[in-house]
Amino acid sequence: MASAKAGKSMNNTNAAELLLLRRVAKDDDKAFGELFENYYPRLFTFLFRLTGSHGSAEELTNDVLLTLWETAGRFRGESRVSTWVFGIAYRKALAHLRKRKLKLVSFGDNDQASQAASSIDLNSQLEREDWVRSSIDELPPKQKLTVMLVYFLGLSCAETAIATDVPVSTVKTRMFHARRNMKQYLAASGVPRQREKDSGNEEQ
Amino acid sequence: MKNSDLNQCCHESREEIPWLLNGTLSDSAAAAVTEHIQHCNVCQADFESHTQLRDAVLGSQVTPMVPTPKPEEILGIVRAGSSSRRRSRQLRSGLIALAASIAVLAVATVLSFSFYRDGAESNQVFETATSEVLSGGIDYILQLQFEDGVTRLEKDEIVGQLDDVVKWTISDSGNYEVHVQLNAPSLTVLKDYEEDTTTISGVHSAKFTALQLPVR
Repeated sequence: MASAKAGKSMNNTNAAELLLLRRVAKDDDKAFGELFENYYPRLFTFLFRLTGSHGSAEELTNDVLLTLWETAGRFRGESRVSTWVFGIAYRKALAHLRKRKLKLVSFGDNDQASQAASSIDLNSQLEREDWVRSSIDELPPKQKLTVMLVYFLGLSCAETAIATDVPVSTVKTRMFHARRNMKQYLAASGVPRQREKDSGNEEQ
Repeated sequence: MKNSDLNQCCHESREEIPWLLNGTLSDSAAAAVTEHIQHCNVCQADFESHTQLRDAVLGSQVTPMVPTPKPEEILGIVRAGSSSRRRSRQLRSGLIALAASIAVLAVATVLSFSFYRDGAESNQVFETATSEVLSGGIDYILQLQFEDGVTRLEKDEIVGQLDDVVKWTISDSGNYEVHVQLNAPSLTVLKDYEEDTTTISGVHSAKFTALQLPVR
């Protein structure tokens, strides 16, 4: 019953946003202002978590919303408006992360990370969480973005596929590889696995 | 249950764990995956890893101060967008005409060189596996120049790693004309695409010749 209510509420929201988007396509400033206010906080927080930079998040958020303004007329209603908007954010963020990744690779700081791991007390849960977050930063951009769409924005598998413009099977593969890469990163950094730490048993 | 059935069940359940965790699985699918995880050590380990990943994403990072743009700032952006949109429409019209001309030229080129023996490199059209999926939109023509010493194989590999490439042709001088189909890109996206491509080892320059990009 609860999920049925949630579904109905979601449909109402989408219908309202669809009407706004139709008005935006006709250059309606006020409708754009409403969509802007609806999406700005979510987009900004999403992009801030991805980039770690206030300035980059602000620039990318504005860029996403300008693209929304420019291309509203081409939305065909084949997905929810939010999925379409987050698809735009995905493409902008991907281009940004690719650029940043290229810069980071040249610093070769993986060795530094490993050395730091050995000298840090890893026993606290807080530090474990920091390392898991570091592992997310190390993921290839497409995997990192897929993880963020699924866990931060809570998109379903089908919605993630639409937002990222890939088949559902590719979304599942990216999530699989993201989890595997995270585990490998933690193992290489000397972070003990959750089960070993909590119960002293080897993970099976 | 046979091993193969178990493996299949395991495989399907493992794939669904992220959406069990974010609450978007249907009730019946969630029940089936939960039931499986309770009896499968491998999937339990996956479930724990994904839980860590989710918790890290949602976790105790500093919540940013979200800027709160004022209405007049929003209107300013809208106005900037309006002129940008008009510019885009003009450019798009020009682009369609240009793409049509290029398509005619490409067909003529392919026909006139159809007698080329196998293995001839220049002026052939190479299509990617995604060309059928992507066909129907506007092609943005990216002129790729490579550094000296880059082999044909390396050039193909470089083009192969670019996104949304429909096809490409090779000029007599060995440079590539790459057709990229992008879904309503902004000028920033096109510029980013050029910059990303230029940073690839072996690429000397990458330029969309169908658009005049503004100086940023």
